[in-house]
Amino acid sequence: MQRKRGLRDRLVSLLELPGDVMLNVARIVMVGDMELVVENHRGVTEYTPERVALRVPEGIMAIDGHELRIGAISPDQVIILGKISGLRYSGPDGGAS
Amino acid sequence: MLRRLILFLVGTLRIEVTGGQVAEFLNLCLDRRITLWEIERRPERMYATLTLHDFFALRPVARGSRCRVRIRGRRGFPFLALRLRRRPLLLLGAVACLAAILWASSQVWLIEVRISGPHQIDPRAIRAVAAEAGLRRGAWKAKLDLPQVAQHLRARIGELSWAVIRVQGTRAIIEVVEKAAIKPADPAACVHLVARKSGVVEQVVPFQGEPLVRQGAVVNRGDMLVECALRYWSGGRPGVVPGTEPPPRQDLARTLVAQASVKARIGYRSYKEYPLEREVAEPTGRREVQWVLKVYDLSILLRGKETTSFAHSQTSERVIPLGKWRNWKSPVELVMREHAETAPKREPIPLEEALAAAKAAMAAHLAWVLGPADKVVQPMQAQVVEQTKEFAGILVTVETLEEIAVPLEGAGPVQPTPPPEPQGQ
Repeated sequence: MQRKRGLRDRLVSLLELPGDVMLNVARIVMVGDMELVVENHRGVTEYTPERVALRVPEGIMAIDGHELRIGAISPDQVIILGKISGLRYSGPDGGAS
Repeated sequence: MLRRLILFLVGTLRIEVTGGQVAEFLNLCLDRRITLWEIERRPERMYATLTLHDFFALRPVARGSRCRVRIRGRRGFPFLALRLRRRPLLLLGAVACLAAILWASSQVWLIEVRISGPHQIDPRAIRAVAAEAGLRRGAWKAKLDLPQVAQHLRARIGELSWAVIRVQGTRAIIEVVEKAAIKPADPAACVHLVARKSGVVEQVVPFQGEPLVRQGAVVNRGDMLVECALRYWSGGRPGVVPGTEPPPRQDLARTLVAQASVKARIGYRSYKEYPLEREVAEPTGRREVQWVLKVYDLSILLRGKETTSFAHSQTSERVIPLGKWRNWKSPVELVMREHAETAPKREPIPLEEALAAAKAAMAAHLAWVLGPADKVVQPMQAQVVEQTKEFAGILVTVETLEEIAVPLEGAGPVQPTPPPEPQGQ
């Protein structure tokens, strides 16, 4: 799997193709510290006003902040609103990456 | 905007999710392709919004996540329609109201006529001719052919040179321009210019007519300044000695409306007696206070006497409304009235004050009588002519330069004085 991923990465880099289209990764758009749009997610693992954790192809993405709200959630994307203070990735096994 | 409209049409619900696992609830919703928005997490509960259609697919999700779902709000057309179905008359009234507004706004209710020109055409006549072409009160706007109405107006009313019609809302504006005939000057017209004030002529600039006064001439009110005549020398311009004036033109070519600018110096004098003493009220320090409660026109005395015992007093009043909110005022109000006793006392008026008052009175008079082109040429002077202990007689003088020619209609040309007959030997 790792070998296959590396081959695809090299191909994208060689042909100068857009990574968010070709690779199976999450696409994140952040507007200031008040809005975060995550595309290509796999679901929610935790939701409190201080933290939203999303399952993404690379592992778990944790968004920390205050008064966090989910503006909209659909199978394609999640819009997170509120005062965002941090964004962390951890691998599928729980370790930070 | 379109999304909001669609959501309104399909109907949305605000739900409250309690108990169980919230994250699991969200994931199961995603599995079943249920879109949620405006999700808010509170302690022990979560709020979210979803469409009415998706709500019916929520039961297995709630069961699977062991959550309890309650409806906290309904919005949209399906719920509105349900409510309206119970009140058919309200629906009928709304539809009738909408239809009445549409009907009323699709007609012409006001026809305004704007005429440019000598205003010899009656606007009612224009309205009547426009009505022949279909533009009348209550006409359907969609059926009106405005260029055709304008053409009809021009064809039927010969006095019009141009017509156009605009419709603004329920108002039709007919703008027309009348044909203006240029009147030739009346050859018999004769208008002199006469003096409206007495003074010394400073400048004469004739435009039309025969000037009868020159610079330095003293004129009285009513004196003729410019004659309404165009004169000439029948035998051509007579030869004169250089430096001397030619003889006046005697033969009349025609009469006309005299036009000229005649400026003259006008002197104003005003004598008036001003008092040098005045009576003032000096407070003695004694006071009386009244408290009155007013309810509409009814007054209830709370404190103090009905009437003041002072012979001379000055009264001050303070009204406290008992309750006030925005533009509403309570009818009950408390009036605090204070009478301060005064004693009459005579005090002298400085002479400078009397002089200033005399000058101010003259300035006010000049402001009333002077035109925009007139001006003061000699500054105002005030002098005390007579003075006693009680009053001062003050004379104020001022000189102005004013336009004094005014038209005088109805009189014929001045008969020229025949040249003196040569004395026979």
